Amino acid sequence: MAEQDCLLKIKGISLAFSGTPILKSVDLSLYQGEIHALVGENGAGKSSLFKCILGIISPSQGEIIFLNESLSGYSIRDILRKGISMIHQELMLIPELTVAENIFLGREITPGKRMRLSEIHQATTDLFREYDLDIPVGAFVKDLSIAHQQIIEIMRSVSQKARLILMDEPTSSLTEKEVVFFRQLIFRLKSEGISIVFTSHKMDEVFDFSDKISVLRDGEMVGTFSKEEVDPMSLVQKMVGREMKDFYPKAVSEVGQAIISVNDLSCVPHFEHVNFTLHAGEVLGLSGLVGAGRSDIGQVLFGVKIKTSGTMYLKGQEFNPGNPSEALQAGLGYLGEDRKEMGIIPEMNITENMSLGLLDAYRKFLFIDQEKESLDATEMQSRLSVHSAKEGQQIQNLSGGNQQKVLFGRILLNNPEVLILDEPTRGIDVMSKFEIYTLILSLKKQGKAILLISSDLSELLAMSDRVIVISKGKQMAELSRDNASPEKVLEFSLH
Amino acid sequence: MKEIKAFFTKTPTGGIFLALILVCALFSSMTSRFLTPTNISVILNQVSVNAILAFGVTFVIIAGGIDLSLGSLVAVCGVVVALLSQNNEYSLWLAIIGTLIAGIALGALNGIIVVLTKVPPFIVTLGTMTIGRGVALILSKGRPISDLNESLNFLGNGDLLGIPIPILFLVLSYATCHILLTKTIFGRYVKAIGGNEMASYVAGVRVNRIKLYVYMISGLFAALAGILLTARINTGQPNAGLGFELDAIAAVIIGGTSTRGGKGTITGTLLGVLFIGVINNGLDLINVSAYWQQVIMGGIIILAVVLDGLYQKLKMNI
Repeated sequence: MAEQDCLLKIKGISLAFSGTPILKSVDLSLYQGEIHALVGENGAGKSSLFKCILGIISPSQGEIIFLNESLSGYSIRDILRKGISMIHQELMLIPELTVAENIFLGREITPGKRMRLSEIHQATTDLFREYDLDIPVGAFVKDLSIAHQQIIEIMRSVSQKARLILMDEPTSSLTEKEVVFFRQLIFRLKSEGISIVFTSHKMDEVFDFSDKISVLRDGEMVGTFSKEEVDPMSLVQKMVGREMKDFYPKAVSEVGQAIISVNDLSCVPHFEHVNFTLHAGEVLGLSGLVGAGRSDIGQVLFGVKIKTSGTMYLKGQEFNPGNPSEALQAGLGYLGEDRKEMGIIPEMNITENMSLGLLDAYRKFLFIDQEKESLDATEMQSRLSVHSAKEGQQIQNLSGGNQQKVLFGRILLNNPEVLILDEPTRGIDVMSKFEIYTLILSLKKQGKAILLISSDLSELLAMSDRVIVISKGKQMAELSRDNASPEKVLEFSLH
Repeated sequence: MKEIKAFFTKTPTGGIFLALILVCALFSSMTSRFLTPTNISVILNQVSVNAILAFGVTFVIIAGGIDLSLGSLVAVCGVVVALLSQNNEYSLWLAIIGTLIAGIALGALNGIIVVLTKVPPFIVTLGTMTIGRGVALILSKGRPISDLNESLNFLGNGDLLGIPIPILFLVLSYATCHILLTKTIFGRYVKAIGGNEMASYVAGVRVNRIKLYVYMISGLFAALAGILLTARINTGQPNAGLGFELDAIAAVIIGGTSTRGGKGTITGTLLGVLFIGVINNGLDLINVSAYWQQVIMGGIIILAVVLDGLYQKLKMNI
């Protein structure tokens, strides 16, 4: 492509925080109407690169050129006006305002003129009509789904005449259906000449959406590739810097006796009439769209939610946990779907996070046997290879992958027979994903019964011995490993 | 030198400790009457009631709650201990233990309402604050209660080996609370709940039970404060303890406990209490009028929190 089509050119930018290099002489060229995937493990420098482009932090070296003009010295606001905006992973909307008010937030007053509410509504309605969006402009943002909120953020960028939109893991909290719509929307933006840079940990999306793929590793730009030059496996290798034989490790193990049986289990309004049996040494996959009720099944088994009817059996005995503490004592372990909400205590360190809920085992008279506690946690930390920069580090400062490993450590410290894993690899880097797959399989080999819930279909199919598909709270199908194809599972999910 | 620097920069209470030293230095440069053994004893005696209240409520605040009923609980418990020790009807021990149980029960009431109704603790304890004040007036029929047991007076004004009894209670309460928060399972779970309640619940922590306990502790220490106050003034006053909850909460916050819960220390709270006490005392000594003292105190509370925020940022870069 000709040089004049180049929308954004990053020339050798470097960045360091208190001596630690974050970005090392990174180059990147971006063209008009291009969808560009930026991939790399957590901590590779993706978000720092975004922050440099947006002017939130200024690089120590190098230059960013947007529309043939250097951006150095411009404020965040100036850069936004020039046409670069960002869709953050945590959406930045005001829940108590309407859709239209959010879209025009901060721009109601232009020099010499103040927009009326009706004008804002009209302008938003026109904009939505142009993009065939079916979202009521007068609705409060708090009443909308995450997917709709994201669309509103994107439309805000569009209405601000953005030329370049940066998106940080835009699909991480979308359902399969919503991803399809999201894809249509970004291709529409592309056709209008808007460029998009997005990050994602999902390989299928990276290849599906993008024209070009750039790989960052440890702050260095490994390279920019067209889709034809790389395949998912070689891309992952570029990201982690070493060869991986098979992304989903395989393990064959003997399926043992039934550990958990569920008979006509209902938890209205989440799901109804669910039946299945989970054996020792088996991974049973639960598939379905987000909100179909699959997470709720796991939560009822662990006592987070209470069933409305039906029976559960644990090794032949009727089992009805009234709270997570009872389930824990019965030998169940649970990993919640949302790490931040249901998993970590952000300001506590690794040891304290691991032993949470298990401290009765470390009771010494009235006190905690802190020596034994820290010994066990340290051992678990090295077994799961949790990387922390310094001792006693707060868990909120660890990468997502390491946080997830700590939460696995919490489960394993209690040595459960049954593990309920809801989205065990959501939003974590490729290397950690691989480690967690290996761990799940070694637990399976040890004869643990594992219930795996995941939105990542390729992961679910590769890891599970059987798959149960849930749609709208109903059990649609049970497929054996040989029978389960992505098409089949999706078909039942959308039923 | 390195250790000293590490103490101020690495420990969470280093900032408030530094501030306390600075105000002490300031007052001792302004008046020679400040840094004397007698005056230090006076300060400690003055702050003892606020300290005991603040220690108790530190647990509530770390667990992510708040207890506005403290002042009223002080009044109720002060009246209860006065009634029980009036005219030597019961033994002093019975009066004290009965009052402490009353305090725990009133705290439990706060806790039960918070846990069962899921109404924000701010609202619940705002309600029980008013209820408590009413109960104190009902029990005392609106009048001060006098003719108390002689030995009760000793608790408020006596001393043991030259140390005033309230100061002994302060030290004992500090040690108990500090150990409870840092060394026990309960203390750990209090911080966990304040840090992330849902995650703690899913991890198997009995969240409701812990929440109930923190309000009971708050009630227990309010009762102790009520007993000491009644003993000191030798009367049970239904109007005692007005606004005490705000002083206690201010001390906790100045001491570095996060209002959002999840972190805080008893040592910090003690330093916060001393900070407020030293400023009140110092301003008295240099003859600042009581009206201006309030203005200055309010300003200092805001300033302390702002400076602590800056200090925390600065610490990251050291």
